[in-house]
Amino acid sequence: MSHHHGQSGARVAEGTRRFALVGSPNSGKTTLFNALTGLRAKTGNYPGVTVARYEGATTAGGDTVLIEDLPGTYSLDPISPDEVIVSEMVDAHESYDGRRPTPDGLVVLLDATALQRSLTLLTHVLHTELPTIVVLTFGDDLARRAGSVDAAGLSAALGLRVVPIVAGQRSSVTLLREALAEVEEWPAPAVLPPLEPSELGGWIRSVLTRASYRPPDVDARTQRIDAVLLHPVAGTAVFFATMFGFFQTIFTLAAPLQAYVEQLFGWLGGVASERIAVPWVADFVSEALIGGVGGVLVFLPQIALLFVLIAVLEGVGYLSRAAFLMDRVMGSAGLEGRSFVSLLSSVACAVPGIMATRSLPSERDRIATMMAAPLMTCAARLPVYVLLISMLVPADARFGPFGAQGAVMFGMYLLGAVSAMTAGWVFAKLGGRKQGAIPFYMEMPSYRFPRPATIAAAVWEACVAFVKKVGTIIMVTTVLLWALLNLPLQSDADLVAAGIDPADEVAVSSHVIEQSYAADVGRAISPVFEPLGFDWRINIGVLSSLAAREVFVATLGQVAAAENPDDPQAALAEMTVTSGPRTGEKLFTPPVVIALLVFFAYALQCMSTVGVLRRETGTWRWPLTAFGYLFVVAWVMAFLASRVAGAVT
Amino acid sequence: MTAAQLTAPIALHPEAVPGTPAELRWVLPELELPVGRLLRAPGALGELLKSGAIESAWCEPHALRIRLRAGLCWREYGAVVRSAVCAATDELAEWRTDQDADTTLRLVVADVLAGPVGDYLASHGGGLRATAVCDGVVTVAFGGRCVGCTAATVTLHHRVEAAIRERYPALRRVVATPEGAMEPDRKSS
Repeated sequence: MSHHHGQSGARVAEGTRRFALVGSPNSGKTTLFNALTGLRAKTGNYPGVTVARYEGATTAGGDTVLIEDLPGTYSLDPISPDEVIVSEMVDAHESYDGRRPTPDGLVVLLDATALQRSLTLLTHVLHTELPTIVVLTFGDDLARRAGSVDAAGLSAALGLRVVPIVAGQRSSVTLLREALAEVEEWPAPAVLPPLEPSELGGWIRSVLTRASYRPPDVDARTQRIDAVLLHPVAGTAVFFATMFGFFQTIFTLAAPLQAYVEQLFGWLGGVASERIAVPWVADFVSEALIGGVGGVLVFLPQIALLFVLIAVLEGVGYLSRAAFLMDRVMGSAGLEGRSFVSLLSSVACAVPGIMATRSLPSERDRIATMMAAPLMTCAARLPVYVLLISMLVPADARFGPFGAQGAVMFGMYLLGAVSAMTAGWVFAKLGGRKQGAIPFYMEMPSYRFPRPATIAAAVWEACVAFVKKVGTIIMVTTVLLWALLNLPLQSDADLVAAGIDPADEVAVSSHVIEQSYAADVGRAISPVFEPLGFDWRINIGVLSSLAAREVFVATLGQVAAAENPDDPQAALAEMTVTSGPRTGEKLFTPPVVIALLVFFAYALQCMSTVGVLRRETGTWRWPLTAFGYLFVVAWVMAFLASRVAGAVT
Repeated sequence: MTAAQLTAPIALHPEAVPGTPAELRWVLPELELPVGRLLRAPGALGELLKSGAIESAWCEPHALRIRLRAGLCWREYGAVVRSAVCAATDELAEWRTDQDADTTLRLVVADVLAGPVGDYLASHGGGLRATAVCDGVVTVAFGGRCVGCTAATVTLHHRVEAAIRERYPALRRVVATPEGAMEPDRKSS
């Protein structure tokens, strides 16, 4: 559910051995991958999580070897793009995309709690005739649920080496490392298992008997919890209550932390303007870097909290339940549960969400889901919403026992989800008749206590990605904007001519901004946003947020820091309209803030999403469609919202 | 066979015979085969036997041990043999063997001692040799560290005997010859 920034950049020597991890979703693949490579990749606890490609290096017998984590798959009969990747990757005769060499060995993970199904996949894999080794996972889970399996018997029956691995146990991973070093000595079965379904069934039964396999009892704890959580009414209520509670914490728990970060930046700003002698450098540091980039960075606590929630829900196995509950709702929207998995991923970021559509076999559903995914409230919207909601709703306003700010935030997420479902429904309708239904295989993993290390790693990765984004695309856009906001240069003579006292710093900076190139651009597009009540400063914010949504926060931060470097928050709230019929009125009236919130809920202001849509569909048609329709919907909805808000207030 | 098994495919998987790549044991855990060398079988299995593609086939209670003619490769013929065995199990009554139970048991004992049980014994510095198989009674002689070891009889009954019985339920018992005294094979060898 997060970006994959975990590519190991290390150049590797020619002839470095490559191994691919093959397994069904939830077979413990990602955990093993992390244990082998030490990469901070996420552990999936619900299907469809591993869609990006992961590759990492590890050592085996003193040599460096490459490990690739293939997408989770149930078979090598490709019915979805995900499975195509796996089947091509392990094809000994063709190298995937013609670029990647065939792996030197395959590591097949068999989930001990679902051995029968795992063996079907193993059969397919063995027919590739690549050297294969078996890793038996979740043996501890199996034992806890009163099942058992004899690994030695399994090994004899399969004719393969079997390495049992217990998650989090270093010694078992060491055994696998040693085995990887001896790929030439891996035994191969004398006769390949049958592919013909009835013979395959007989083979699997025989192998399981030989391995003295006792399947796990249905987990009593899981059953009891599921009786509530999968109940159509109680389960849905719990789901919404969980989400509602979470958005409360965004404001109650994260806000004090955010205040600390803000204090830090305030102090830094003070130091900068005192210590830096060159005036324009001081301005650059205090406005662009601290006011702009820093203004986005203060939302790190909220981002961290969002990913703690996602990682915990994923880790305990709740997300696949949520997907199960939503399958019904999705069904009424003409989409399948797998679409929900992808929409759910989009709560972190639309990019992995769109990549997750690879697990969808139907082209029609893929496109419909891709068109809907950008509407889910992604992490990038969070800073914008927090800023705008703080301007709209006082911190102490309450709805009964709950904070009103959190309730509004919950409403924004709900708006995003409902809009995404609606968009999915519309695009599915436009996409024509539903193609032959392919059964949706959704696993309900037993509830597991999430491993703190895995959650910490997931949150850490998300925070690093956020800081990286702030340091790159947001920084560059902000610096560009700073230049546009401060050029052309105004000499003292110009200022005097305009009736400004060159000694009055605040007056000077607001004059400079009013006369800047950015102001020209903002005014040029004002006919578009005029009906929404936006002025040129908001226009510039909206325009710059096309690069990434958070830039909106940075832009407003810059403008505000220029007016009042000591308290940009207050400056923002006090900002007045400087031209046109509303001159002198407060800029951020409730209708304007509401229009902005709604606009951000719909508009596709994210170049990464546009890029991934282009890559995944292979044409510009869909990214342009998405951008166009979302802009129109954003404008219309924002207009309606501001009119309604104007009528009410 | 029960009605369910008539419709369901027969449970069957091949296992390697340690040290003998030409042979595979086709394990049939749900069936009770007539033991001994397979002389005649119905259908394709019988044809393979007659043509000599299958050099020899030996029935254990729950497995059919097949040796391919030299020059034939299991990777290539495995699927053919599997289908043949599968089909032949429908007419188990038509299978004819020489009913040589003791030789069958002797094969099983050799397999067990060459497999994980033998590895276990070796890892403890011990050794075990089957000296005689007669009427379902296996006589063994201890060697190495097993001689004089107080745990030897425990190992004999819990590991060796259990492993043999798993593959040959009609085993009557496993007895050890008196310590150190390596008796020559008595009867049938």
